[in-house]
Amino acid sequence: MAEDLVLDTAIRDWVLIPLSVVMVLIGILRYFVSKLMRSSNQVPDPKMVKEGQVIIRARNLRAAANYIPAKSFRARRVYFSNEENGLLYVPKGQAQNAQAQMFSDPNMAMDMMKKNLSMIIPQTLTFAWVNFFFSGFVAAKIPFPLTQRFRSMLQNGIDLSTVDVSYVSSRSWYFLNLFGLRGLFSLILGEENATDDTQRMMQMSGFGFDPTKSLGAEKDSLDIFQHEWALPKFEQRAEAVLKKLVVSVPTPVAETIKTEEVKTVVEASKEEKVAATPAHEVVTEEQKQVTKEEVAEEQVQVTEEEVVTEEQKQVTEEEVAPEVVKEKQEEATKEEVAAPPAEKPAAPEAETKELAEEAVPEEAVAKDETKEPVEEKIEAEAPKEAVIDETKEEEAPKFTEEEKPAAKEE
Amino acid sequence: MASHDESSVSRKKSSDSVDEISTFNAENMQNNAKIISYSRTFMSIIGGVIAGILGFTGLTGFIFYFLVMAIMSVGLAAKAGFSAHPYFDSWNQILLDGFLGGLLSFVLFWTFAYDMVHIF
Repeated sequence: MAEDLVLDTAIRDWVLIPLSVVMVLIGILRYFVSKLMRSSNQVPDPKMVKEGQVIIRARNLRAAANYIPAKSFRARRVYFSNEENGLLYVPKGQAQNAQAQMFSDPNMAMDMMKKNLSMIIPQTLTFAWVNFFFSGFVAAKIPFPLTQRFRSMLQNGIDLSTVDVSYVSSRSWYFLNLFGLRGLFSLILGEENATDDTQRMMQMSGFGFDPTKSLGAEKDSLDIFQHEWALPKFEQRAEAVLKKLVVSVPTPVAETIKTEEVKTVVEASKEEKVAATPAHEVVTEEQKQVTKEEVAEEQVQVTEEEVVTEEQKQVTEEEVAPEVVKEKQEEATKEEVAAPPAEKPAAPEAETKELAEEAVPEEAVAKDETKEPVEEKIEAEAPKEAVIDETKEEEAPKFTEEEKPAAKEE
Repeated sequence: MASHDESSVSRKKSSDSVDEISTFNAENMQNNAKIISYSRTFMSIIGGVIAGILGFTGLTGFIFYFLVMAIMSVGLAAKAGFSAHPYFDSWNQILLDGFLGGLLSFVLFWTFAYDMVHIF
């Protein structure tokens, strides 16, 4: 029985539209009210903040662990999960304490109650209002058919059982609005809107147990972590990238020479890297030195590629026709282009490494560490400075030579 | 508007995958995910209004919803240059994320438009 009911236009004017408008406005109002109430009592507990930061640091360490050598990773891990004074180690007695304190703290309880209320009260009020004013008539027709089971849910004010289930009462229009306007709110209010019930529940349940349990969780996951140093493979990655670019220019002589050069360069730089790592492990106090290390590493990478092109050019200039020389120069510029993209992967990793290393020296200053780095630092600084000077020297003349063929090309 | 931000923050996302190391910049990933969800919500609202005005009922309406979502996925993939790797975690994120979240908004606006135009 799909008879088409004719509904009064007044219903549209006075029920559907006002109800939607009111719900949108109440949502906006709730958003602003929660914003105002939140900013008035914003006293973050220093202890909790500190623990949160420790967790973030441990997570960073785990995330970027593959970019630092194995020994330094282990040193940092011991620092975190050491039995006596490791940061993540929380003796059992204290754990219980923090939890109990959380719930008996009057401030926190008031806060949670306020948030709860601000969520529930507008919904309850609106529902009561809808029920009082807009009941007992057909409000809307939903465009899709539903089974008879939904009748009691959707048509609660209408007592005729022959009416199509698609004709629903205003209560169901209220619920439809409640769920459907969430999307709209996320568009017009940005991501900060607190109108989503489920998100709120998740946030609240997560907050209470955060410091105590997650410290233990972080410690466990840090212990489990398998360290795999990724840097030795970077030369192969550079090689692969360069190969991909060079494959398009087919001169067999150049290619064989190139791969040989690349291999020797790869081995040479591997040794260099191994020599440079003891300098790396040092937990230094000045950030300048940390950034110098990163720059030196990047420069070492860049110099490999430029050594390759240099030697290529030298070899071919001896031998063959100017055509081949021109192609070599094209390759040189292509590899120059390859150098920046290969540098870019180094850049974000350099960032994360810097973060991890920067964070650790600050703590090292605060605590007195009995580890070897104190002595290693002094002797390692000398060879490190030598390495940096060397690579800087190497790099400067090569850059100017690179720019010349590029200029000639253009 | 929102969609051209995606390309401007794109290239910083991940490194080449000769190795299996992919360093994802968290901020950019979040930004891209936000953009996807905004676009989907917006399209589902517009799709709902269209479906209501055109008078789709029942199954036709739901099919229309999936059609709109599919068009959106294709458009998103085209914007990302048909390569999910530099921008997103996986293809699933482009194709399926927020699929059902927009359904409720779609139904709301579909009902609304349908009633406005056809019943009243």
